[in-house]
Amino acid sequence: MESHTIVLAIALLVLGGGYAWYVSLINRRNKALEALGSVDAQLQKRHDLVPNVLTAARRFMEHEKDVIERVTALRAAVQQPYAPTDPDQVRRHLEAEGALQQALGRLMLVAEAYPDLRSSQTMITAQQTMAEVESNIAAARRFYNTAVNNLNSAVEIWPGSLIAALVGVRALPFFEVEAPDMRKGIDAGAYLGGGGQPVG
Amino acid sequence: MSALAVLVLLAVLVWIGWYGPKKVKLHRLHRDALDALEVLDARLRAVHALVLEVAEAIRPYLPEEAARGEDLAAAAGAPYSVASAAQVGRHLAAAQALRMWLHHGLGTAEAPPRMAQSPAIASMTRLLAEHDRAIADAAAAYNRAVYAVTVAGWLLPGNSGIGQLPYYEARAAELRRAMRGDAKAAMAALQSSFAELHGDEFEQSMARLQQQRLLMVKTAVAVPLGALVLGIAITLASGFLLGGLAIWMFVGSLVLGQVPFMRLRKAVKLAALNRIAAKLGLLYHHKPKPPIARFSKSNILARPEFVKTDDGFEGTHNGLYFWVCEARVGMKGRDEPFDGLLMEVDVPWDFRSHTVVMPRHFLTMLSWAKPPKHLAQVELEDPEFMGAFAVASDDQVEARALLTPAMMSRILALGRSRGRDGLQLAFIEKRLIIAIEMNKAGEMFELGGAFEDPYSDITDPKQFRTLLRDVGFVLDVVDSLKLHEAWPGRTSSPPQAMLATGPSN
Repeated sequence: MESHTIVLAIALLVLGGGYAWYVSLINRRNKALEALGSVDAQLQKRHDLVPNVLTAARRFMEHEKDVIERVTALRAAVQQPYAPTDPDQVRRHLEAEGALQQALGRLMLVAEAYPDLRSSQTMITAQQTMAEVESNIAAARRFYNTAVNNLNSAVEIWPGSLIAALVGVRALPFFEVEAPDMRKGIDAGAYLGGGGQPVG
Repeated sequence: MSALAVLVLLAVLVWIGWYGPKKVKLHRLHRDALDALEVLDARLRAVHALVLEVAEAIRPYLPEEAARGEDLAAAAGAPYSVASAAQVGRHLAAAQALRMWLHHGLGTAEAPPRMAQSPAIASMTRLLAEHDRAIADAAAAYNRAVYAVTVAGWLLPGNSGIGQLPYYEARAAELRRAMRGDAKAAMAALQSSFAELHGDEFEQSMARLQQQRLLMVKTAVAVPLGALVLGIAITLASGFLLGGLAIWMFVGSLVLGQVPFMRLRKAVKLAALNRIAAKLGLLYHHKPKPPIARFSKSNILARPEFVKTDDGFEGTHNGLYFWVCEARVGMKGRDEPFDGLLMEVDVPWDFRSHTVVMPRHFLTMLSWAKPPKHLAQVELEDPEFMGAFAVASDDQVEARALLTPAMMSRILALGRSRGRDGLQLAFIEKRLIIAIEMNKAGEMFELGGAFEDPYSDITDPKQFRTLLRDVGFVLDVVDSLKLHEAWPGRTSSPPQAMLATGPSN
């Protein structure tokens, strides 16, 4: 076999391998985008539920305007459009969702102190629906995180990183269950009356 | 000729002395069953008038449902012949469908509020409850009568036609309403105290069967010996022209003597399984008819060629309806038929997807051993689960909502205890369907040692410990998945077929 035939064969092999890697990369990115779409569909159900909760809350929780306004502002923020292929925008979007989830959780917690609100039919229905919506969001998050894990592995491992850089595919952020500030360590001393600083 | 005459005389004597009275008794029991059917039918027909009133009352809110009720009433009111078991079965099924319509139509939580508050509806609901009680009593009497005919029919060789009446069976919706507590707890009580199996009717029934059994044992010894003696006599009388007759008569009567034993064994098994089922609040079916289509759709029993079922139970556990049966299913492209248990359990929320869980092994490459093509592969986070099972679904999100980490670990545990290669599941049409392949599936729900010793006392409920163990196995499977608490916060609505149209005003 002549040398130029060998070179041609190697070149074809490299090109073929590179193309296969590229196809796999695009498939994984599309899977991650599909999963992100599923997450958004489930999050939209949460957004749709917020006005009902706020209507009931405004009637009974006149002294908790801050909490209500924060939920209102965060709902408006999470409904801003974003580019699903831009990891930074996706990260900000998911963080805003985390913040909304936290604020809603706090609102529900505060609502416990208002027996009239707690026993109102709107609130009872909203809480039941919320539990269902949150389970769906958790399932969609698992789908998204699995797809992102597959994509990120392909993007970060060489020569995937090279091909990804060439075609502009970037790693996407995971959808974390808590807001970043909830990751801080807990200082048991503070709870036991000993003061102290949060760890971490 | 003289030997033939003796044989004919013997047959006539047997007919007059044993078969004749049994046949007369069978006819009497059959007549009783028909009388009970008449009473049950009268109770069921009393409901028909109520259906028309209910249809009128709900017409402004749910016109399509009202029309459906009238159609069902017409079907249930159609004439039928009591001489045809199929026609009786269809008639009872139509009456059952009508009652289900009434219950769903009147009792659904999704009924339009104005309809739910209507005094006429409230009064009809009360009336229906009264009818239900009367029907339940009549149905119990009818089922007892059918059972008596069935047992008598089994014990009478050559019986054809008589006694083939169908049971009036409570279906899922009724069982859900008539939940009689926790079947698992009832099983624990039965296993710890066999005396729990006792009951007047059961004891009387078993005592009768025990008497027949002892008579059969004596007959099984006496008849072959008599045949041997007769054969020798005939041989001697014929001057050894019929040399082998004595041996043939002896062997033939020995073999034929086994037939009544087999029938009795079956009768005892049916009595015991019915009793166990009744104590657990379940229904027992000797030859159940499971909906195989749902299993085929999920490729769990792909392309079935023949289906043989045996010994099924249905009931509720932790408030969820389930059925289970033994099955042997032959499939195209598969040499060995499926042998094992088929099971369905209601899932307490209205999921809409189709998700299949199949063992991941070398057979996964074969078409009958992998999920249907229209379902996409689902990749879950649990590596142990994904190592053991392949998952496919038409909804990636709902598949994960169904297969929560807790559910995955329960399926894994079930697979570990029952052999994961033989465990297949699918979530479909608001149910979890399960197929468990077992090596000795045909031996389940059969009597164990009770019949090995011909003089053992079958009236002792301890003889049925193997049956109890097998029914306990089924309940363990249902219990281990803990479907009643698997999806907190999820809700379910009544069957869509009834009120899918929603309020029309």
